[in-house]
Amino acid sequence: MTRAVRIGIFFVFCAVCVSVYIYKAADLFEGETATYHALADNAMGLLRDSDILMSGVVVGKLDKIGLEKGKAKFTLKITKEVPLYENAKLEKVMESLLGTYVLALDPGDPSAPPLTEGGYIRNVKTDLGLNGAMDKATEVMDTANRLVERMLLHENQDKIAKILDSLVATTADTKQSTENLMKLLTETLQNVTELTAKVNRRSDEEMDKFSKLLENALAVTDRLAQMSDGKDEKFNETLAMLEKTLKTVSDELAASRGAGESMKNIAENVETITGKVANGEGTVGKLLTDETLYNDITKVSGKLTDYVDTMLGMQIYVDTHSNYLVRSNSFKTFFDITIQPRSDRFYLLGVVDDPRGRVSESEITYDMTVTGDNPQSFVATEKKRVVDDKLKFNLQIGRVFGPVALRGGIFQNKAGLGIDYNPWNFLSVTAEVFDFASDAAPNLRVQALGRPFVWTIEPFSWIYITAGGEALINSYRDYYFGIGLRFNDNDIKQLVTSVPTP
Amino acid sequence: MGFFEKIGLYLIKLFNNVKDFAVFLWECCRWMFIPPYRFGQIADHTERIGLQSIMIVAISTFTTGMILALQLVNIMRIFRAEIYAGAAVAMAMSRELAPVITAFVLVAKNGSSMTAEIGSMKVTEQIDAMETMAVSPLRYLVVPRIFASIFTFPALTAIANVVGVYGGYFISTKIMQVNAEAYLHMMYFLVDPDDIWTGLVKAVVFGFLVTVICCYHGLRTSGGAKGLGRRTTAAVVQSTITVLIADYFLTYFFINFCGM
Repeated sequence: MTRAVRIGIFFVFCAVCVSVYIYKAADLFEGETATYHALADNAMGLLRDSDILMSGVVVGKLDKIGLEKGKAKFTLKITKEVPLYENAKLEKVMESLLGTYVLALDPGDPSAPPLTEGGYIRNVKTDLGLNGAMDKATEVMDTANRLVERMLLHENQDKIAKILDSLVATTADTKQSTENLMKLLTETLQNVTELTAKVNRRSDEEMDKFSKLLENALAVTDRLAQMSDGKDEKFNETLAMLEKTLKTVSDELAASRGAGESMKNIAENVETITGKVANGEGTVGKLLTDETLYNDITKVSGKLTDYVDTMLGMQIYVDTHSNYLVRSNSFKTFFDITIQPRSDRFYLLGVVDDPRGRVSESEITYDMTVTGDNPQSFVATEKKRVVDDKLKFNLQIGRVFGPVALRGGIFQNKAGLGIDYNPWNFLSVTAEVFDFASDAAPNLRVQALGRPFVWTIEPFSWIYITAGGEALINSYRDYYFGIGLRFNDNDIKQLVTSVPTP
Repeated sequence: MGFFEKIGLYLIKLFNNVKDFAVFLWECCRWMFIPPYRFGQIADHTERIGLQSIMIVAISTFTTGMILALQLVNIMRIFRAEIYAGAAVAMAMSRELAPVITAFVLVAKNGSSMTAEIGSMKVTEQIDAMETMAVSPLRYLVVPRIFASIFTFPALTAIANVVGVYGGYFISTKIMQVNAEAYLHMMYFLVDPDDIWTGLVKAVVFGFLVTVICCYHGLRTSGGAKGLGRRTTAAVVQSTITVLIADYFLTYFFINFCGM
């Protein structure tokens, strides 16, 4: 095994090891996901990549935790296999006693409209968890302590002593009363027993007494009724109110009879109108029943939706960078604008200030004649190397296929092709080949681009560094490294709004 | 010689040394970007620093992972949280231990060798001969070693990461009977790719610093075999301390400026 093979195997092995480890640690959620947001009162215990569970099954990951309007903002990546509705619910629940949390998702039901991608889940519950329980327990303990402290005050102790004395006296009285009541009850029962025994014996004398008793009771009740007649004000007021209420009820019944008639008329009118609409009569009827009109409207609304989607989803990236060319000891500066109407395609327009310019070589032939004694004629050729047009232009169209983007078009005034590979957001590798018409080999440009501050705040996250080589397969070969800025239209918007106006 | 004179002379010497090292560092950086590159030399040093150090790095980090897991599982078992030991081992390995232990091992094995090799060339006036022939010793001797170290330190750190984590996994699950599935789940859940990346970036910086320091001492060797021994010791001590100081500043940078 040669040294080159051993070194190759060593680096490939290391790369595989670290790639597998990073892939596993990345907690990637497989399958297509949609992004949603949620605002919560408390994100404590949640981490990036925390699981989102539905019925205990992982359906997504918590992608980002930020702040918005003083609340914790969750960015959620949820599998597209689970459709979400406006009435979806999200709950922060404790995973273990060690204070780790997950998010439990209830996707809602189709009675509500579907939740659009990027939308907010409104119903968010953040469980207080162990800390909340501890806070509650502390609160209860504080209250108990305050209560005990108040009870221990001197005047309160006197009051408590009095209350206790009263309680003792009351319980003694209650005991006495209960005993008396029990005695009375026993006597009553004995009397009832005697009475029933007498009734059973049906003694005439006793029956007469019973009849008289009943007669007296009836007389008393009759007299009571007479007493209340016209003398009890409250009784009279109640009667008056009752009468008024009955009258009101009677009026309402009469009025509702009238309303019924009106409702009947309205219903007849509605029936007539809907009949006409159903038969396609009138403007509205035509609108609803004419299929051509319906198809036209559907087509127009579809196109309008596409247009709005394109306009809203359009991203514009501004990129400027300068490379130091080591061999020619000069700087080459690029300014590009990338218009990305959809995530899968983009257009690139750019200007390049190339210190080496466009090199063209020409051959000039001179027919020369020497006069004199010995005239001679000969042909001389001169090779002329002209450098012009230091400013070059880029005009490219690109398609994106996952982490790979293919580009084609004009590269520095020449036709060419390019490929970009973006495996991670902090690193990309680019290869371009152009200028096929050149006498020398085409210009092959290979570049590695690193964004070392991509995780930091703006504007540091816009900064990137480059290193690579150009004209790698022809005699104008050069190596370079450089630095640049790249930001998108949202950043431009932020810049514009933050610029002070006079 | 008076006390203040001694202090003054010491400070002047220190200042001269710092200035000398700064100039050397700048020259190294400059030569790194000037082709042609001696790929044969780079390959030669890559083999010596990288391939021939795999076993020693693997053994060092495997045992470190095992020791760490042994301690952590025992401590975390008190809280019934032994499944978190894997995450602790993996995070410690990827962020700090793998790059630092790899750097220490390579300082001991290759750093000292670099100083001794270049130093003996200096003592035997081979370096002077090179300069006489208009061959830059920096370009011929130092730059290939720097490139080899920049490539091999992170590569060996990657191996150290994986081997160290496996050491922890082996002890935790096979000896301490921690549930393997839960151990791995918590490990992958809590370890982020950023943890691994920061370790690899640190390894690149350590590789550069260790090589520059060791080569600097080699090229400044004087005073025969005794001077060579002194320079080799100084190179190892200074490289080790520099690795730890650089580790602190890199960690501070990653935490405060990159949010990692």
